[in-house]
Amino acid sequence: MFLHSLLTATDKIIGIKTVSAHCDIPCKIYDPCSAQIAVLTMIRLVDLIEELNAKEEKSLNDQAQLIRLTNEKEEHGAKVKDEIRIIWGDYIKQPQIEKHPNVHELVHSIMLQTSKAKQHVDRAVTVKLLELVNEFAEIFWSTKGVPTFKAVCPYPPAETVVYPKLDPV
Amino acid sequence: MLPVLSGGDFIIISKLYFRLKVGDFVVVDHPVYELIVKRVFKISGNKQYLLSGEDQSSLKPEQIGWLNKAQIKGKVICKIRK
Repeated sequence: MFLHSLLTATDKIIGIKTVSAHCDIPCKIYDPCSAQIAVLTMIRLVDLIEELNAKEEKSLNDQAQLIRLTNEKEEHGAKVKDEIRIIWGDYIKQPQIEKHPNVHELVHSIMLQTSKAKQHVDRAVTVKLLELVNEFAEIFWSTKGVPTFKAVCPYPPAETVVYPKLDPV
Repeated sequence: MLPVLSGGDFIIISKLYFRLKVGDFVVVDHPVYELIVKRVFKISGNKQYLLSGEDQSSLKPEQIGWLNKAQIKGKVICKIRK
């Protein structure tokens, strides 16, 4: 235990080489855009559910559509959690944590907010989830040394999304 | 490499060793997986090494492929667990 603490301290100073055991295939392909698109889909689905809700009389088709939209919202909520967990669990390591010490708290907030967005048909709650996922995307791109910008996505639900500012080839 | 090694453990390797035998832990510079630690699973007659992990989720020896001695960076001589 003492030896491990000593080596950990030494590692922080001189940087001991890291060796992996690779239980997964290290494809190194990580991108928070999948999570962002999944949240945008959730917001869009909330809008469509609200449109259905506004109808005074709901046909059988409307009811079937409501079930379909709700199921899709559930699925995309699960996808948000999966995508964020993968980046957090597989990509975020000690150097990124040191640079962004709030990342664990942020990921936990995303998990809780996603559950809330799944449980309710509430646009404000789902937009708040998008803000958290955007914050995570900013951290991710910062660890890659890629600057970001915010823009309104050019399709429904037309919400603000963090995009990476990549150099054109 | 659970349960033998887990994330955050330290290992000390030696570049000097008499010979490798099946069961030894080695660090190799793999062309695809880069620096990895694995266990020697099989040694061929012409000193080619097949490596394996410790559990089901680990890469299979055939996925890692045969490696030569130049790719072996050292033999693990000490593990410091977290």
